[in-house]
Amino acid sequence: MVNDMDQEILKILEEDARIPSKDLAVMLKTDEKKIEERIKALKKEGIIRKFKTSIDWKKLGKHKASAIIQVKVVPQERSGFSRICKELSNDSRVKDVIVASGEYDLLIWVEAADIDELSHFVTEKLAPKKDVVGTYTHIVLSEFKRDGVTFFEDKKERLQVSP
Amino acid sequence: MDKISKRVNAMPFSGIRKFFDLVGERKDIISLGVGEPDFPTPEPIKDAAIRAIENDQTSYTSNYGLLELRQKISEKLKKKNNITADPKSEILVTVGVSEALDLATRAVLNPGDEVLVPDPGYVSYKANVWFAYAEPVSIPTKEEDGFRVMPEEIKKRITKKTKAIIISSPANPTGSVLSKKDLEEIADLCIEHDLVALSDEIYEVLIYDDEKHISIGSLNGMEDRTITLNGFSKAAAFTGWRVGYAAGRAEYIEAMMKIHQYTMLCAPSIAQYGVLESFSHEEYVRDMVKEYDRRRRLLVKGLNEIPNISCITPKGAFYAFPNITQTGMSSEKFAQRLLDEGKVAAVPGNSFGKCGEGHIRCAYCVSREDINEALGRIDGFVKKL
Repeated sequence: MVNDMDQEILKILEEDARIPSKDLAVMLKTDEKKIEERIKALKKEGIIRKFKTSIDWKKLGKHKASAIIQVKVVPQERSGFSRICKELSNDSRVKDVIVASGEYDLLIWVEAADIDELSHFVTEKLAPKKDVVGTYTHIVLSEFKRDGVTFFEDKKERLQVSP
Repeated sequence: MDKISKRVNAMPFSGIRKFFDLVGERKDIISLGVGEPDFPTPEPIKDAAIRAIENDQTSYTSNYGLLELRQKISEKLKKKNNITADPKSEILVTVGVSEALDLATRAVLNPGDEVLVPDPGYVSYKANVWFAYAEPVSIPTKEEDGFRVMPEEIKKRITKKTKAIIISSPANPTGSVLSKKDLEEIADLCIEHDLVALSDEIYEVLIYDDEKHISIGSLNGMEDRTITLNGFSKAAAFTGWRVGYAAGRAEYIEAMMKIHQYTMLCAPSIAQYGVLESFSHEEYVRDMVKEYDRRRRLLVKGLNEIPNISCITPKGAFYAFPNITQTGMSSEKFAQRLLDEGKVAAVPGNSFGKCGEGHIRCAYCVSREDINEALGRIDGFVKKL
């Protein structure tokens, strides 16, 4: 059962996965042990899927070739789109797999090491799949914000001291 | 020829301002000196203001402010403060609560009148009374009372010249909140000695630990002698928009409007339209208050773990007011050295009055990360002393 405190924990962790349990305990008027217990339970229940870090790889000079690909597929009897979605999800280069309404059925985000790998992925792996009837590839030119994290320096002037 | 008025010359600059100059443009510091929300203005409110520009709603509004806005304020006062105010004659929209305070003091006071102000208290109280050619009289408050204004301290300072009292709850810089009982006793004194209460309620929604905000204007016998001052900056995160309001009996509001009409004309129209929208988006405020509460707990707990520093738990606003007397330094010395050596800016407590000496004001309108970093730096600084 997810209670109110769990919801609070989740909201805070969603923004800051590294927050010490000690701080969470102070903020939510409870003790550290209880917090750790709840986080463990939430992980076990599959509510917390993973803790990860947002990285601006460009700053390290690592330029990847990414693309958003719209995919049209033939839905399968009983399993619908789920078989192909799971199959695509298993490829580590595929970062997002989404079933969406509209002209195409799936939207996937692919991150490849370079354009050759990306091209290989589309032409050799994705397009020839039995269920896939069409693809439409959008090469990513630049990224400003992903998953709620901005990738630009924001200059907000704020007074250092005010009444 | 004296180029500047004696009255103005006699008033020193705000201690906060002085400290601001000291901090200047330094980039390596973490500032706990900022008394304004660090959240952006909620999107729907920004949109409403942008729409106001696009729809050419950019002309003067009524001197009293947009009637729609006054109606919303009136409903809010009824529902949340138990105060009845006619939107047509008993509410004035002002350029921030700062203007409301200025108007109220000028409208009510005669030269030589005395006004009771809490010490420590927000820096503008004394100044506004002074600029209205009246005399501010400090009511000392003590840490052991949670910096609440005690009725017996008020009583001792009431003279024949006392005309008004400034009530500030939740308070800047201490975060103190007056209880219903405190306010009832203050109300009794106001009635007995025929005083006007100017009640600054700008931090109204920033209140924690099941404390309840009570407006002194809602208490029996106070409806005719209270001017309630409030605004939108602190709760809804748009300090730069400059919209506040005053509510009280028509004679007060009319007098204030007279000054407002000749000096300000009206509050900015675009900002008024934005504020109007804020009444439909209270969920943003709720989330912000929740976050302030969490930061408050972190900051207060952290401060109390630092040797020679102790901090009572503030019940409202977004300030902690830790005691630094055990370090043997004055507020100013401590704040200055903390800035130079510890790279943390906090406002010296004596900026807010004599009774603030021995304290510093730490605002927790910064990220939790910054709070933790600041705590670490303060700890390091104090341990090296």
